[in-house]
Amino acid sequence: MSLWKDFTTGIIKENPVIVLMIGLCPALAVSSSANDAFGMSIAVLFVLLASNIIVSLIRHHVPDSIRIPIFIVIISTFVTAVDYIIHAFDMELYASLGVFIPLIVVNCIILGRAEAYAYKNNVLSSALDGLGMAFGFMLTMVILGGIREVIGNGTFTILNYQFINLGEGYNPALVFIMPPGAFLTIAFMMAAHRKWLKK
Amino acid sequence: MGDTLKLGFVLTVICVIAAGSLAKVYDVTSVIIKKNEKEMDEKKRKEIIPDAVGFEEREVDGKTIYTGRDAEGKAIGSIFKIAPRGYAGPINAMIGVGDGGKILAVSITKLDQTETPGLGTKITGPKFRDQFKGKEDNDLKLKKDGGTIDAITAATISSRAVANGVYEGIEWYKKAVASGQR
Repeated sequence: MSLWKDFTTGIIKENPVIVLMIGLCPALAVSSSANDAFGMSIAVLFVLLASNIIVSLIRHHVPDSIRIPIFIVIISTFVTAVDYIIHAFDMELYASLGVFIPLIVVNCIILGRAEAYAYKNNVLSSALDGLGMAFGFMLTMVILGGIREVIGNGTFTILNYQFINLGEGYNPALVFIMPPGAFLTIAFMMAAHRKWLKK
Repeated sequence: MGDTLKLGFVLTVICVIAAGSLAKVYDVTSVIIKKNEKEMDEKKRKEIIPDAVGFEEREVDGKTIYTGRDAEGKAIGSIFKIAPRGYAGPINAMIGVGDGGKILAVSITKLDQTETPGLGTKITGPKFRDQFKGKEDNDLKLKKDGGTIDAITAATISSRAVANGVYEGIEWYKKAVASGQR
């Protein structure tokens, strides 16, 4: 597979959340606000990239029978480091993401790509795959978070910059910032992908 | 047997490297985290009692009370923390009490709580928190519970947690003060 394909496959064609349907739990849980969704996807980007690179680097030295425990150790080390870093440098994001930062360890996207790709491919391809999957995740998260926040709260804010504000007169549909709204929105996103983007 | 040893060895090496690097990251970040928390607390205290020239710290009944004094050394009010259980975890609030047990201010920032975004998180807004200013005793409870505080729509549990937390905090403070440890 060409290097460009390694990168782009994860963005639309094999988008981890919309197509592969992995990593749904954090995706639905933290997307009630566009900023939280964006912050989560940055954390996932870092962990996915780092874990894919390391797993690929050591893949020839890892005995097959204990590869899963080793992946978990590597992934949880990076996630814990990300937890400390977010806590130190962006306390507001830390408070918003809460328990979902440690839950990145069991985010299927990361363990899934380590097992399905990084373990069997060279470092460059694995890094690009990680990057692509993470961007696909980010795209989904920002759209999901954006839709939920606009309909459920009348705003769309990322990194303290308010892109949309429907003002005091807007009566928000609160269900969209609660779990049912998450499921509704992602269902429509998946349906839209099936209809228009599947080739 | 040799195979098992080799597996154990590889796993150990990886774990040691992982633990070592994590410890380094922790060393660097924990310093920043503690410093941030200390600065946040100082900032909140200044916001609650802006006229205070300095704060006097003392331990009472397991809690730390900060008394703000003006330029003449007279006590303006006292500040302490409460942590009532909200809808999704503890709500870490800071209360300022003035003369006669009246509330000066209730400080809750986005970082101090993990309530539902858009609903329970409204307890951090001035519209909710300013209701407590100047009130005392039973007035501190929600209107539904016999007090004068308006709960947030669709966030009764979060609102009640704060109101009851403030009420119980003041009761504790009055007892601690009355027992002579002023």
